[in-house]
Amino acid sequence: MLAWRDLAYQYPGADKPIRYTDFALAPGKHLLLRGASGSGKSTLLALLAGLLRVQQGELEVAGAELTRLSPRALDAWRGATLGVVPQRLHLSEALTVAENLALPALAAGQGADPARAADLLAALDMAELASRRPHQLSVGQAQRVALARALMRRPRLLLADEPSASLDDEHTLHMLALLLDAAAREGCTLVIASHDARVVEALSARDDVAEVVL
Amino acid sequence: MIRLAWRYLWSSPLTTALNLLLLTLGLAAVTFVLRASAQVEAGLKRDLAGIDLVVGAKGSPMQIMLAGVFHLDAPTGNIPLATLDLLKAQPLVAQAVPLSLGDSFRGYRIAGTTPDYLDLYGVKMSLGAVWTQPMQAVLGAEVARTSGLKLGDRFAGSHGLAEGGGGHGEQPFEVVGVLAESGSVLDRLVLTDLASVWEVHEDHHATHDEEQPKEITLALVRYRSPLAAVMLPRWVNAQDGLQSAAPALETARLMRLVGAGTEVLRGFGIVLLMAAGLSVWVALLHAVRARQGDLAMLRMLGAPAHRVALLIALEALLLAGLAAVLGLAAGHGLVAGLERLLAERQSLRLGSLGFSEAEWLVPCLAAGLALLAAAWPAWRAYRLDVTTLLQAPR
Repeated sequence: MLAWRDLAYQYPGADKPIRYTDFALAPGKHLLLRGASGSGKSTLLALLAGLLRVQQGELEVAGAELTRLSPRALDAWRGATLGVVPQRLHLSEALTVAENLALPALAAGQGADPARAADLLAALDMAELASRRPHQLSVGQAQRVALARALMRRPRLLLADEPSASLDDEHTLHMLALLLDAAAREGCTLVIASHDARVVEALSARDDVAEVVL
Repeated sequence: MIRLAWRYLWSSPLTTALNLLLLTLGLAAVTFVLRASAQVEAGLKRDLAGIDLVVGAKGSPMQIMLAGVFHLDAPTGNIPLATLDLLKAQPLVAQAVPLSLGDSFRGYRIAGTTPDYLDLYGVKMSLGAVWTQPMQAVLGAEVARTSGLKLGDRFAGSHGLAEGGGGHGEQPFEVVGVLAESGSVLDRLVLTDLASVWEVHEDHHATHDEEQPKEITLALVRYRSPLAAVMLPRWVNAQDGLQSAAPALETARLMRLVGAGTEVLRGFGIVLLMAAGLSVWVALLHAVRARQGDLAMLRMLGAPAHRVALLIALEALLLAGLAAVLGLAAGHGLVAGLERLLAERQSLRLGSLGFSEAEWLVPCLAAGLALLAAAWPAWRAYRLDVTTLLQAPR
């Protein structure tokens, strides 16, 4: 599902590349990427999402060797395979919650799937908020909408970047539970990148979560 | 994508409305110029009706043409009836139709002529028949409509070509026919026999002069061969007291004179469009900057870079499409207003026109401007650094 070997990435103007120790995720496991700011955590996430091109080494994500995909194929692969809950949620203020959930299909050049959106919102206890705008939502509600958007196209890999940012303890645990529940329900692999001790503590105790420390 | 672009477009309603207004005004001005000049030209061509030369009393050729063909100006004077025979005797002349002007009915000109005048325009009768004797009149469609006169009704003309002249109440005309609507100048004329005009004015001038030589105001001439265009005007102008006016030349001169105003209006429209284009460009650049997160998210969700750029171009195109529709509607409305104004003043009628060929330029202009304005913002959207944006802290 997820593995890299001899993986390295160097930003233009940087003195040296960021190197990643070889890794392979065992089937059925989720992944926690730990590390302080500047450790290369976000770069690895961008590589996994195909947003940065692999410069050196091999990277296999959800059965695809990313170095072999053209930029266009990489875009299509990302849309079909990945769900992303970014640190900044980037819900469009111009659109309602339901319309935000239609974006993944639109991005892929497909028609919207309102039934799927309704199911996901219902599963996340958000059914009554479909017609609201993002600024009318609480932080927790907005995160659930971002999660629903990530799940719209039934991803095989769900990436969450710093999901606890700006959340208190209670909401952090709730968000983690939502992510794990969604991953279990949708049958996808969850990758969480975080430097938050609360997240690390909560996930380290679980048998189904592997850890990579950067 | 179109729906998404539409929603993004109206996410800043004030900016979009302002840009829409600017674009619409510019396109309306361009539409008005294109349509009005095409319709004026069509109206002029229609009223020329194959008339190659107008012969009148010495004076301005433009005035003769305006008086004789379009019935807009006062004629330069009268010419002897014998001129008509002289013209008809010319081998280069295929047809010469006399016109006698001088009176009017409720602002509509009464023209003494022969039935050949109707044939020049190919106008049919809708009611009654052509006059067969003096003091019988055939009304143009508009005259009949506005005056409410019916067959058999009698009316008196007024002296002079404008409303308010002294009456000829003692010599009423009898309505014997009404012309079918043709859209030409005939719609707003009262036609009668040449002899009617002489009869009215002979009596009018009887106290001053017992023996008045017969006169007409103008002669409308059709050439037999193109050679006549070179020979005949020279011949006419060499005659004592006669002046020729070639409607084609005079109309072209008139259009050049009107053209200066048209150019100013067109220039104004183009300046408005340039301002609108600049405004759309700034708005789109701002939109790309303000919506970097949204656009980056689209890329993250799998949208290829070209689709994100297309979204920006679509926004501009939707705005341009809307402005083109509104601009065309406003342009058509302005021309219709001008048409009504001209009709009220009993001036030149514009030619009827569907969607003129030149008007296709308006949506093309709008689309071109939109794409030009969207090019740089779309390129910026295409080159968006998704990684940096998605990692930016809250």
